[in-house]
Amino acid sequence: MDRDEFLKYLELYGGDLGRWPSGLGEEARAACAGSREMREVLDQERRFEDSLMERGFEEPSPGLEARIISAAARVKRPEARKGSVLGLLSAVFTAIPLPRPAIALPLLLVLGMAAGYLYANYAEQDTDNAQYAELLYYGEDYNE
Amino acid sequence: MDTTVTLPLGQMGIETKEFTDEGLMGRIRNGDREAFSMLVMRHTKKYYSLAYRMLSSREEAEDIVQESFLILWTNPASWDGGRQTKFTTWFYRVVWNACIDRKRKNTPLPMEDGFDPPDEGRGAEEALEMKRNKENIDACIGELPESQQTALALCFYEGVSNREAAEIMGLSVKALESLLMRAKASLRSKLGGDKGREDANNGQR
Repeated sequence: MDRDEFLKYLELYGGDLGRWPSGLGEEARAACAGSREMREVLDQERRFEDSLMERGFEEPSPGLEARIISAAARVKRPEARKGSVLGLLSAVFTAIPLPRPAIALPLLLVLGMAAGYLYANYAEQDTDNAQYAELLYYGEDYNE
Repeated sequence: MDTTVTLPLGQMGIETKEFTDEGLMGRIRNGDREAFSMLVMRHTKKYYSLAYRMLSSREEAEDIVQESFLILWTNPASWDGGRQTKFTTWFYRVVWNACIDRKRKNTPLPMEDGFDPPDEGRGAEEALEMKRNKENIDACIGELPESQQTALALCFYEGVSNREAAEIMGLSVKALESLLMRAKASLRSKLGGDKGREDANNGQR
């Protein structure tokens, strides 16, 4: 690792070489062992990061988790889906570890076929009704 | 036969599918309060830390974390496990967005008047110096653009990998790294930590 690379990675991954991506940290250690200048830059970076760590931080209140859990207990949760068709579908989708498009495509196909079948039946029934109305109409004419 | 084992809240290091974050989310969808409690116990501190880094206020950070967990509880379907997004990455994004909203709603508070306590010896001076130093760092970070502050909070303070931070912020890794570099360069120049780096860069030329 040359100096330019070292400076770039130092900027990206920081002064803790253990947090660098695998392999790079080892290379950086080896490079620092052979260069006083790189060691100085690394020390400088660590001092800078230490100074950033002096930034103020307040720990959360000790009961924060309990507060969140009890707030959730008071909140009304939409449970309507449980036991319904939507709930069942949701449970199926949750249980099947497949990416959504893989489920959506066959589902659309099935829905499309079902819709086509229903529409065909309806259209057929409609035709029957029209023929019946026609018959009645001409029947009236005939009676007259 | 039902082989589900219900464990008390304290036992959380169990590496079964049911007890992973994603497994717990599945149970939360079915209204499992215990699973919700486990998730809260496991992650509250981490998300509080990000919220605190973004807002610099304990009360506000706690509110944000609570609100975010309540969103998760009331609408667990907002996490789409099928998209292969890790729960922690997704929830970082929820908390981060809530922080951004809160920051935009907040009107800036007037700066505190300078107050010098009476001199009580060297200890007091040191404490004062430390306090000023912390305030200076806070102010310098607060002056950074929002995106740089977030990149710094996630990668430097929270130890999130650059790749995950990029995913949280909806950026490419290169864009995230650019934000990070600009944030650090800006802080170095403001805090006077760039002498060594300048020397190194000068040596390069």
